[in-house]
Amino acid sequence: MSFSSIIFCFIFLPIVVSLYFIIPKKLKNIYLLLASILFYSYSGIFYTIILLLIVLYNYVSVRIMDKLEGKRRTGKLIEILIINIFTLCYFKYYYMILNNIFTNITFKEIILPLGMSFYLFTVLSYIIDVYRKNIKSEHNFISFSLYILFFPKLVMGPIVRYSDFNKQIDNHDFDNSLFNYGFKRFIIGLSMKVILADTFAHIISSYQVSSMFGSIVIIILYSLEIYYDFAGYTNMALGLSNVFGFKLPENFDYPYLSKGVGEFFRRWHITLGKWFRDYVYIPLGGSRVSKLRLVINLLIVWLLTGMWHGASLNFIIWGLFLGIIIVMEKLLLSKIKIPKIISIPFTFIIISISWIFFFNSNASDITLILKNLVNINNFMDDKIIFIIRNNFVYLIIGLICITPLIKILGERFQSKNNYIYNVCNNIYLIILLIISTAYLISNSYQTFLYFNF
Amino acid sequence: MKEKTYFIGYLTLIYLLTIFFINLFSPSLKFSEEENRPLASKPEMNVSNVTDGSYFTSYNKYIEDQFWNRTTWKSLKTNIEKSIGLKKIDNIYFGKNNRLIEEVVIPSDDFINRRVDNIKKLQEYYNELNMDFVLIPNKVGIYYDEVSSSNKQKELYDDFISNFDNDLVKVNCFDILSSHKNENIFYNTDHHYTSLGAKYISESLYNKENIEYSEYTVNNHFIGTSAKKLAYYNIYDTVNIYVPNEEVSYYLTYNNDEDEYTSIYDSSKQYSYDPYEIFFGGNKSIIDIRTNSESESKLLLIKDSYANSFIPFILNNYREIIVIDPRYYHEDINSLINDKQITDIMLYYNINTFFEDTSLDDMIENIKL
Repeated sequence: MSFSSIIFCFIFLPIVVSLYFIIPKKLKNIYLLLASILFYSYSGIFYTIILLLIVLYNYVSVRIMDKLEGKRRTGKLIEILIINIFTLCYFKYYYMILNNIFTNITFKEIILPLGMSFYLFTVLSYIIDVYRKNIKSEHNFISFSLYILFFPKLVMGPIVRYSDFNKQIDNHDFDNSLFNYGFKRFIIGLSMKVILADTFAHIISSYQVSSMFGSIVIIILYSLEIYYDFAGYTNMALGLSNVFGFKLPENFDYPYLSKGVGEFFRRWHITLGKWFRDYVYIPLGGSRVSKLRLVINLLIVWLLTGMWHGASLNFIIWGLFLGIIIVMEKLLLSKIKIPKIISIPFTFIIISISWIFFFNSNASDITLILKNLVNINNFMDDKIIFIIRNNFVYLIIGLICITPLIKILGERFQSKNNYIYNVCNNIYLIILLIISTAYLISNSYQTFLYFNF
Repeated sequence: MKEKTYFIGYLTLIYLLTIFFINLFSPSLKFSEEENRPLASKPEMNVSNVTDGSYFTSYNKYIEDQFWNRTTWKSLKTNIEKSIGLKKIDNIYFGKNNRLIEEVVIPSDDFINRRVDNIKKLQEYYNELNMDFVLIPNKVGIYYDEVSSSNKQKELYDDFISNFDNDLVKVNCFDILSSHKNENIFYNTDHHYTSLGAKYISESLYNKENIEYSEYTVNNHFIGTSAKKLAYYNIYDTVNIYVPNEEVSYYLTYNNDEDEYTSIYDSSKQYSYDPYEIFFGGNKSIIDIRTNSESESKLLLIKDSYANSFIPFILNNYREIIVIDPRYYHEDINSLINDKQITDIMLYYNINTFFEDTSLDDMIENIKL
């Protein structure tokens, strides 16, 4: 169930939150766990059973591993890792590999269970942290299950470390300001998704690139769409966690203001970047290795990052493209200081180009956009000019809100008159909620007028 | 937490709960007149649809379709988008003077080739009959300057027509309608032209200019399809009909039924949701009109809904008019032409439908000589 669906916003959420206050404190965690299972079962009972089996298996086997020492501990670790990674690879890549090798046979499609990439990475971080003795294995099955299944972060992150979560499991009492702040974030996230991301997605799908300017606009739209989609979702996830008294790690920090691609990915999907840093990059030796080794390490990390995002070739190209840029940044640009006014737009351009590979899996679509991007002879087309004029306000809002401008202005206003600021802020959020509802409902509004013609 | 927005959480929760309860207690609707489609009903739960998750997908559809006041929400979105300067929403442009203009339909090359072949085939099969080919431009072809720099529909039309001999297309409807573009020849809120537009076409087509008509208003709160698509209810149209002062008498049958009618107007539709259905009560698969005209001609009119408001103007030009809509009429037209001793064939379409709907091709391809 998506956070920006009618069924979530107008049935699941109000009921689950309301009942949460009535449930006695002792049962709150079990209640949240059951709500999470219900939330997930919306994607099908079969996938829910798989998820529950994975949770059960990891709970038991990590408990066993934690009691072992030395080689036997390592052996158990390897066994658990293989089973989890195999599960992920089976659902994520097996079908595509088979399909590409035996092109003349049709296989029954294997569908990746919703959120599996996220929840298995959460599980893997827990396994490795226990192995490293950074944390103790959880003996309470409810607490462990809630750590994996907690619905605000179950399907799209952030990927939470156990050490960040376990302190909160028995200590998430109702906090009035956190509760209100949570809903505030939820509204902002919802509006980012339904007002901006969905609109940008609609524009992208309605336009066939046919000029240089058109292809520049389309890659900027990619940047905006994916940001408002994912950051919007994350805001909803973090806001929902706050509503239940949890604080999860941030996942975005105005990434499009980064001064380099490396920095971008420390501010974009932060928890995934940290995951790869801690569990892949540093174990490979990190940056304290020879230059050649560094290059190899970075490329491995980025190859895996690409593969994590999807099974098809375009994601691998996407990952390697970014890997190569980051290698060049590390080797060539680390000593040079470039002024912000150049580095920020430059980074934005590189990232925007990389999204071409993220959005298109079809080689001919990719080449069409790339060709037009350098097609100086055909600079403009009528359609893109119309699109810009038509959606001008959306584009301006989209570009302003990737910066903290509104937040800064708000804080200034607040420091002058806190009371009026609060009143205005509440009114603003309610209006935003009503507008978001209108956009959300309108998505399902489809007229079938054929029979009138 | 630095920011203290003390009550937004409670307000949001109350808002969500209120809508939840309203949805819960409002009765399910079966059909949306605004969207002209049946609405999803509550799905039945069983083991297989719960296991594969399809139950929840249908349930979500049901919740979406039955959402409280969904037309009003859509209307709110349209008004917001219009106020922030959008000139085009859901393939409909906001033109000048409250005109809602549907986007031009651009057919594929395959579509054009198939259509050209079929029309030529039809000409060839019935070369001894009189054949007319009338394509009516849509608002986007007449008021193109309000939506784009070039008239794409005109270009498309000219290209298409160039495939045929000159005598197939007797009148250029672009010229006719353009010369009256400041009059109410199209509904603002609907994709149809008005009876006035149809009147101008008929006058050019049959060279009749001295006929006097009485004008009657049948509905002055018409909200057409374009407005419904956007849930944009800020404007509405007036539906007028024209009745010749020297009335011709006729009777007609629908869909080969035995019931005979003496009027082409269905007054029960006058205040209905779609008052355009006042003509013939909406689209019918076949209509047979017999008149007491002195003419010996018998017309087979192959058409879309644009012809509905055109027929009133041509009643006294034919002894009999057989009107078929290929979207609903699936019989062989060759036997119809022979049985009825048809003398004239007319294809009468608006250009957007003509370039979108393939039932005409199916009909011609199924002719058994």
